[in-house]
Amino acid sequence: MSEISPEVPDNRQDAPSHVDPNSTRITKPGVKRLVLTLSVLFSLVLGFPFLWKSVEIYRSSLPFGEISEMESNPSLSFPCRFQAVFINFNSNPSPNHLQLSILDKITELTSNSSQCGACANDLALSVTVDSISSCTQTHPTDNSNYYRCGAISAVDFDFSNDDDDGVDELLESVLGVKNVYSVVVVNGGGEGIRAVVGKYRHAWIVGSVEEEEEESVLVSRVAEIFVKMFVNGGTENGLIHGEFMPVGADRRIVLSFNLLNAEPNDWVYDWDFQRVDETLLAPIIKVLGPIANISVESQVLYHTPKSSFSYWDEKWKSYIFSTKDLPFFVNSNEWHLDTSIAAGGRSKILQFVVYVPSAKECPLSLLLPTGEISKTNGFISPMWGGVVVWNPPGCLNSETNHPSRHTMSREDLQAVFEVFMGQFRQLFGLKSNNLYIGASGTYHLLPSGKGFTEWELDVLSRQFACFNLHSCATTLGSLSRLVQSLPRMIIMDEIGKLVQFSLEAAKLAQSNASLGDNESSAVSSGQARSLAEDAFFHPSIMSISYYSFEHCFAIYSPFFLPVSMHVLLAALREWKRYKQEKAKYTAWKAKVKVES
Amino acid sequence: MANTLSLYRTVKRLGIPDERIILMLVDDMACNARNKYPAQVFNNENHKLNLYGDNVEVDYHGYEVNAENFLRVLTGRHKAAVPRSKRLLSDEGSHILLYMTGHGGDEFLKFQDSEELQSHDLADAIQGVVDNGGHLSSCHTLFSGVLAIGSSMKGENSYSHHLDSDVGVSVVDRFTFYTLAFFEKLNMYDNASLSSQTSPDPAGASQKLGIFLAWVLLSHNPPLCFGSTAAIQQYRMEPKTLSWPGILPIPVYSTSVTVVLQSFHFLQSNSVNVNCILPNRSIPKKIGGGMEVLGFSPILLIFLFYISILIGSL
Repeated sequence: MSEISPEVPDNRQDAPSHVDPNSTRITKPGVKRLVLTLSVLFSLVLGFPFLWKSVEIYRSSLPFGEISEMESNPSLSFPCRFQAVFINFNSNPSPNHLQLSILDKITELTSNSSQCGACANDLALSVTVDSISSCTQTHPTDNSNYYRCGAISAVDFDFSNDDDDGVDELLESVLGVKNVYSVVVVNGGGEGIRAVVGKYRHAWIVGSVEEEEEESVLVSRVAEIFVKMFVNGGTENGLIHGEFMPVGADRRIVLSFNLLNAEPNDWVYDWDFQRVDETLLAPIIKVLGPIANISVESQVLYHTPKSSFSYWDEKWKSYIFSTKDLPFFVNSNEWHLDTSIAAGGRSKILQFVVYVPSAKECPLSLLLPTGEISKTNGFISPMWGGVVVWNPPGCLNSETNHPSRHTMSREDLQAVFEVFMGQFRQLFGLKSNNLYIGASGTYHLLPSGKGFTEWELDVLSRQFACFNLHSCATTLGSLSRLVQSLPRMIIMDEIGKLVQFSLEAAKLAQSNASLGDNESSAVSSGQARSLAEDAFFHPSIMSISYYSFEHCFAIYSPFFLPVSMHVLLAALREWKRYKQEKAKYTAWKAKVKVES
Repeated sequence: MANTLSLYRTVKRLGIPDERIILMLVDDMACNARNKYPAQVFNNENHKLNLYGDNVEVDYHGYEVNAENFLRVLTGRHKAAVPRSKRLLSDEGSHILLYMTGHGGDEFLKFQDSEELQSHDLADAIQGVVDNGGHLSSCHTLFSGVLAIGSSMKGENSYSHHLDSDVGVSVVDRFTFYTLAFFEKLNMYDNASLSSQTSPDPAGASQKLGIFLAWVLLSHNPPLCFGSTAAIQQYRMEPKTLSWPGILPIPVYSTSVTVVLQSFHFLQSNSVNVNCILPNRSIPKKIGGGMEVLGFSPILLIFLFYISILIGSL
């Protein structure tokens, strides 16, 4: 609208001169400025959702429901398949009766332990009574390769108790089946009852049993072998604690063997480790494959005295250190054992130390609290490793004026490594005796050349699978709680993938376990744990780098606050002005209307 | 720096090996051009003991001592290539002693005069450490298994012990001085010396260290000269004793103890607060300070400034 008003009659010409510009105006107020400011404000407001989306925290979605479900129930159920074979029992006891009584005894022994790895749910037992005249069997619920009648007869057994290994091999050739544990009870031989547990998955009891009452003794011994040996692995309650799971989070163990020469000025010893590694260690490493990925390192160190003191004892003709000195034996200031290159950040290192004492302290022996000298002259520290003190031969009488270089003889090295093998077993929580004293009697345990018997490996696989699954569940639970408590933390895709793979591996482990496959269940559960730990310890989960609200505000407010302030205030001002001018115009129009 | 090195030596004397200690040291003082005794650091004005001498293994030094690395050490979230000696390799059953010295204030700690660590970040990290070692335990209260001690209460200042006018700086603060005196009285091989000092129990040097107790919190800050806000925190107090009788090797050695020591006090910083320079020092005064603190305050000021202008223009 132009400001020039159209032609109006003269009497109207006077009207403008009475117009008060503060309260009336003649023309309609312009809307250009208002439209301009409002459009700027509107575009600012329109852009706000885009800004919001662009500063959104990227969080990969984690399956919280599945994680909490697994955390509440991280257990594995392994099936147990047992069989008992009674040979040469002329009284012909009924197999069903025997089966019931053995099962009763088994449930009695396992009643107080309901932890992972025990046979609480899935237990099957088959009993065979085989004598010359007849052979009766209970019918097993699922048809695995159970014992065939007539495969073993009493004449095969050597009752002179000499050749345990031979009997073991024979039984293995007859009974050797994965996942089934067997006990063979033979009537005959001398008096008394002798029980032996073999290297594979069977045991045998030999004795002359004629009366009926002794049957219950046999039943309890059979049940004890099943529960205490094959299920629990010879430990008290079957549960191996966390202190005896020396496997790193990435499923690796590094065994570091160190030969320490305390005083090289007296003598220097070297060893042929290569051969030991190939002959003694390689089979053990292969056998423990499902549980951990083991690598071996060795080194020889010099000038490494111990930091405890010893005293000369005339009775034992040697220097004595006692068990009270053991915490101070390992002189960590001078023993630089931690120089491993192979070990990654999350592997576990076990140190095995052979300590060669100086001439001033040789021979050095360990005095046990019972007052005897230790036969193995060594000790272990759980989760750290073991130490063996090896005294050079003839050290009491030798000349020590000149330093001499020697190599440890093969027999000495073998003896030392046998002790190491025992220590290694103890680090896994297994006992190193060859005699087990149970509630019903004593049992002889046959040792295996590979360090671990097959039933012990089964026990270890099951325990490790349980431990790994439990650890995986708690780690994932911690991760999900952490992620939910920090809603503004970035979670990368990689973490989401790791969690997903970990849950899949855990499910695989559970299904493998219910099928009875110990090894693959240990492998999958180990992978599950390793993936869960990778996710939890991912370097991007750092609280110092997530976008807290203060951080966001501090970055964006200097840009947007002043501008938005200006725009808003301008829009408000224009709106106010428009309203004022509009009011003025309507007032004038009303006045004109009134006047006309 | 002398505080940290003193405690480091004490801890090593009591039997903790280097592989169990993480030392984060901003080791700028020993070889600084202004140090009259090059490559030597003392904690007493009689200069009897050179702390920076031999057998000091520093894991993080210089610019590696920052808040991010510190939190990474505590939470264990390192990049894959970080070597084992720079990691806190603790597991369930570990006791951890954390000693920090430097400047700090209400709810924060200073790193190298350029960064800060907020107390809630530190609390989260410590909670993470406890959780990692304690997710087998049943109590989930905040800071279960953690004991912490500081050199002064909130609102108090922490002061240096004495000044060494030869070198020109204060060499040790009171808290550290008395702490070290306490440790000097401990004999590693003697159970009696410990049980006479504190409460009952055990054998083993690492457990003795683990028994050292006290009270907490971060002190109030400036003006705080060479005071140290030493927060000693200790996790998982239950000492473990195991014994395995048997024919073969018997008893066991102690649990693992890892010590994280850290000094992030940066002496010659350009932004040393004027109040901190003691009169006897030969270092010229510098006018410093400035906006070291990142927080709401400057932004709020700008904001208010703008608003006042705009409202005035309405």
